Amino acid sequence: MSTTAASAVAHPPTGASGPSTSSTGELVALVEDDPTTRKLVRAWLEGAGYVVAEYDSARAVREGLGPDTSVACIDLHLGESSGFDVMGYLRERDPELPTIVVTADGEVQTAVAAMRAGAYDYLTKPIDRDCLLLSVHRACERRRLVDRVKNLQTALGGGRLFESIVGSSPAMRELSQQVDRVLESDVAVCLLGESGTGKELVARAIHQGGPRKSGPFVAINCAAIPASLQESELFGHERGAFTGATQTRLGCFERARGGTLLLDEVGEMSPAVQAVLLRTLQERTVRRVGGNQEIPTDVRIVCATHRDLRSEVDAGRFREDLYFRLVVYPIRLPALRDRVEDIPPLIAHFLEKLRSRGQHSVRHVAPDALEALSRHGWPGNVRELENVVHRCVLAARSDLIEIADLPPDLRSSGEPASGPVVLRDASETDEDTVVPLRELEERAIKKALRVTRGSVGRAAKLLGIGRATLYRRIAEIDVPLSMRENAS
Amino acid sequence: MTESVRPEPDVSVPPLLSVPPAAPTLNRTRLEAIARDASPEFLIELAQLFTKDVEERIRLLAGIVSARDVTATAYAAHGVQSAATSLGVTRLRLLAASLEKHAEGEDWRRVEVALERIQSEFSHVKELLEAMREGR
Repeated sequence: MSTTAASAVAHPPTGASGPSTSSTGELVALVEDDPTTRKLVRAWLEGAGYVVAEYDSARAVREGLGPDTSVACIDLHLGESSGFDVMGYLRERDPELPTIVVTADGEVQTAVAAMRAGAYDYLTKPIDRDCLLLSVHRACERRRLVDRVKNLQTALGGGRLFESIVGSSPAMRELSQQVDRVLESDVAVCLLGESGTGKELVARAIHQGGPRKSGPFVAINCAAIPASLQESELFGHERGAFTGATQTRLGCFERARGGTLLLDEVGEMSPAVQAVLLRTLQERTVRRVGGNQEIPTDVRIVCATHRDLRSEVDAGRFREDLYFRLVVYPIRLPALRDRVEDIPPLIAHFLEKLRSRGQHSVRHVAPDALEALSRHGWPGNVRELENVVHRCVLAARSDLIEIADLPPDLRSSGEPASGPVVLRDASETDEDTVVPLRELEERAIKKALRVTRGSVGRAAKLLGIGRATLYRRIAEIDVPLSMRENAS
Repeated sequence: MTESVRPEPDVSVPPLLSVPPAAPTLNRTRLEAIARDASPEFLIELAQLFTKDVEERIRLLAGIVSARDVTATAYAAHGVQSAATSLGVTRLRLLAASLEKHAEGEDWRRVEVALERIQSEFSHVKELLEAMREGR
């Protein structure tokens, strides 16, 4: 069974009283198998400014639910499937999505079970319009708050994110300076670089370092989307706009409202979509496919490509007027082979990342193995290095990565040496000082306890380890009493 | 929108659960609220959708009842009940709820009585909604 397509009816409420529950286009998933109820609820929601996507079964939800859904309104009696199945599916897919369940009058026990299962609210039939709008309004508000907190948390970690992609090489220091220059303005930045050099990470750093950091960051990879779907993905579509468009869907421009939109591999965009994108950037409005309404946009555009866009323009494959709109401030990301001095700190970073997930205890790389890793050409750049580190960790039999643990094509060039190399963290500035990991760990723990005023729970979170682990570490090292007030 | 006087049900058949004899055919307050919150034209569209959908549901229900399938009967009755609840078709809703309960209790005698009354009630509802559409 496919998603439903009841006739569109959207009459604004006339003279309706009740709470202020109007919306600015949030998407409500309406899961209901009765067409009469669907049509009625849809009209009420659309009248209040919501965009409604209808689903008449659990299967339809699984096949068609859009990623931009703000709230789901679910009838618990869904024929052969149960509304509880839909709730379970949604909780797995998006734990923060608020769900409002609808039950028949008098089914209090069912409603209680639904609330226990994580429903945000419940309504009984016959659904009252004002109760529905109030509940949906509150659920959307909750969703916005959760998204905002997430964005702020990511933004707070922005500095760490950028540190993780900046090595100590001159090329990366130059990159850091270039990024700093574009943070505060909405200037169109184009990130140029080979695949795997970290273009999306830099785009995120630009987003998180600028005034839009509390807004959403939306990335679309134009190379991964067929030309026929690019327009719909970017600008959204109205229900019925084309075969298969069973629901209204918001595009990337609308989803990124107030934030940043990364157009990754923009060089792969079809000529037709280039024309629409140009119009969108010029007019600062977006029109959904099949729609007539001009919807204002409010996004910062960052684009990225591994191609030489200027050559693409010269070859007639990329519009010149769009090129000038998008490439106001080009930033080139260096290939990993051009900054081999960053390889040891990057390996240390990836080892730490894997350790924090509890996947291993590897801390060192044998000199011959490191030599081999440094000599490799890295056509896949940092992404390839991360994959290789992961493979080596899986192959390692102790806390040391040895030459034998490397993939066969990387083993050839290592020279034996006297002892294991202690990998430095990217944040260390003195290139000649090697700090024992034990000491680095102690420093990190003391710092975390200091900034959290002795809160072990928060310190453990900052350090990316469990509370029990932190308690054990505290017992092993010399932590001043003033720092361990709350740790005892 | 006028409601004709309904004949009293045959006393020789057992009474159905949860269906007070005085239950109204339509909940006028509900219908007026829908017309007010959306528009009278929307209410007519909704009533047409209801009529078409529920007519088919009742036709299917009759087939399922004759097959004595408890789950399918309860589900089909629930569908009629849900649609009737949304539009405010009170008596039909109560009859469908009653049929659902009797099906769950496998009381097929009462299920069949309820089905007959549902079919009769739906014909009456259809007339009333048609009259509403024509402004009678």
